[in-house]
This record gives sequence, structure tokens and C-alpha cells, in this order.
Amino acid sequence: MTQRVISIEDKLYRDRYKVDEDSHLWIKDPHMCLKCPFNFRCIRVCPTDVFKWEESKITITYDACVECGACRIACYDIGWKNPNGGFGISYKYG
Amino acid sequence: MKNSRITPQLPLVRDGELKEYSAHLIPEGGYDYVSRVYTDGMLVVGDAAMLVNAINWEGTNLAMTSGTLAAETVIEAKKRGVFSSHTLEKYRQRLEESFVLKDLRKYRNVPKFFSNNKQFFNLYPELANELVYIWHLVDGETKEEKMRRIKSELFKRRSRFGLLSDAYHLWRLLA
Repeated sequence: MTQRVISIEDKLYRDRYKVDEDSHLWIKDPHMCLKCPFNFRCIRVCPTDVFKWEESKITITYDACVECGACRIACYDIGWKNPNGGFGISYKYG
Repeated sequence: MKNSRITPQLPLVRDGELKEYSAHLIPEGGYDYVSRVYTDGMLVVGDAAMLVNAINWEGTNLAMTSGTLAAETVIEAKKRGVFSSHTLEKYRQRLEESFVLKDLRKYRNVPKFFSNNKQFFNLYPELANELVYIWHLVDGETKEEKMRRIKSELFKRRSRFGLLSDAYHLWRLLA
């Protein structure tokens, strides 16, 4: 039996978003990331690879966010709010 | 997390197909945050109406029951042909009379208690982990010595009064 590995891109392809201009996620203090006390938990915990370490800072691809809230628990340096009304992920199957 | 069983890389069911990749925050405000569940021409059910019993890990049953109660209210309203908030108010009443809001009312102080007492999320899980580790570590110590170490570790991290007070409050909240 062969099974196909589903990449995160494959998974996200099933989702529909209405992307806002402003991010609903942000880093409160980018200096803290330089000496991250959590060993970059945000990168490991996010199910959609929103957080990446690029050129000595965390970049946020907020348009892939499925709004699970894991990063909000993982790190207090991450600012989190629900996207503005009508924006963000829109589930077809609930 | 992305490599764990929660978000599997492979379909769990043979020939299964992923329809949607989803996650969702669950509102755990409790009774005091159940907002107005009805207005002209609209009823709110399930977790949209904060109908989640977080301490008992319930929510699906509350969603289904609130859906039924909402449907009953709508059927009544349709008979009368009036969908004003005045008619739909009956839905809130039905919720209050059912286990849905009765349960939530019973645990109304739980969310506030836990958000004011972070030791339940930080200190106690850590302690449980460390104390079980000490207890099961094979290092030549007798169980009596281990028990002494566990006790001293426990009281070092949280005072006797703190422990008693936590136990008392938990009992008051949940019993």
C-alpha cells in the first residue's frame, strides 16, 4: 500500500482565505527573538509554517494562518488578535 | 506539532482525502460571557454563543442541544409567523432550563479562577512531572527517602497553605 505524504502546501491548498492588508500576528519585541528563551518554539508549534527565521529575524506569513492560537500559548512575545471581521480563513466544512 | 499525530503527514483512513486543513480557537469564557443569543430574525448556537463547558471538555453536546432548542423555537415562531426578538427570547429561556446553561452556571467562576491562578498550568504540571520522575528513578534510594525528597521538593515550590487553599478552592468550584 503506497501512501502519499501530504505537504503543508498541499494541506493549505484545500483552504480558502480572505487576506487582510494588516497582519493579525506580530512580534512585540523583535530583539527578544535574537536570544529566544524558547528555542524558537513558534516555528515548531505552528501547523502552517507561518513563522520562519530569516536574516536574524522572525518573519510572519500571516496569510497562511489557520487561527489555531498555538503560537499565542508558545510565546508571550507574539501578539495575537483575531483577524478583522470578514477576513482570515473561511472554512467550508466548519 | 506539524510532525505529530495531531496533524498527520499521511491520511489516517485508507484512500482518505483531506477536504480541509483546519484549526479553531475555542471560547472558554463560561456563563458570564454567554452574550445575547437572540435578536430579530437570528439565533446563535454552539460555541459562537460561548456554549462551551471547558472544565469538562464538553462543547459538541451543548452545540447539538442548543441547535435543537433553537429549532424548536423557530418552529414555534413560524407557526405564529413572527420572528422578532420578543418571540425568539424563548430560546434563551429554553437554554436556561436545559442542562446547557444550568451546567455553565454551575461552573461560572471556573474560567476566572484558573486565569487568576496560573500555578495550575505551570507549577502543578511541572511538579507532577518531577515528582513522578523522582519516585520511579532507580538510584538506590529507598521509597521512604524518596517520599521525604518529594515532600521537601513539593513544599519548597508551593507552601502548605497554598496547597491547602488550592485544594479547597478547587473543591468549592467543582463539587
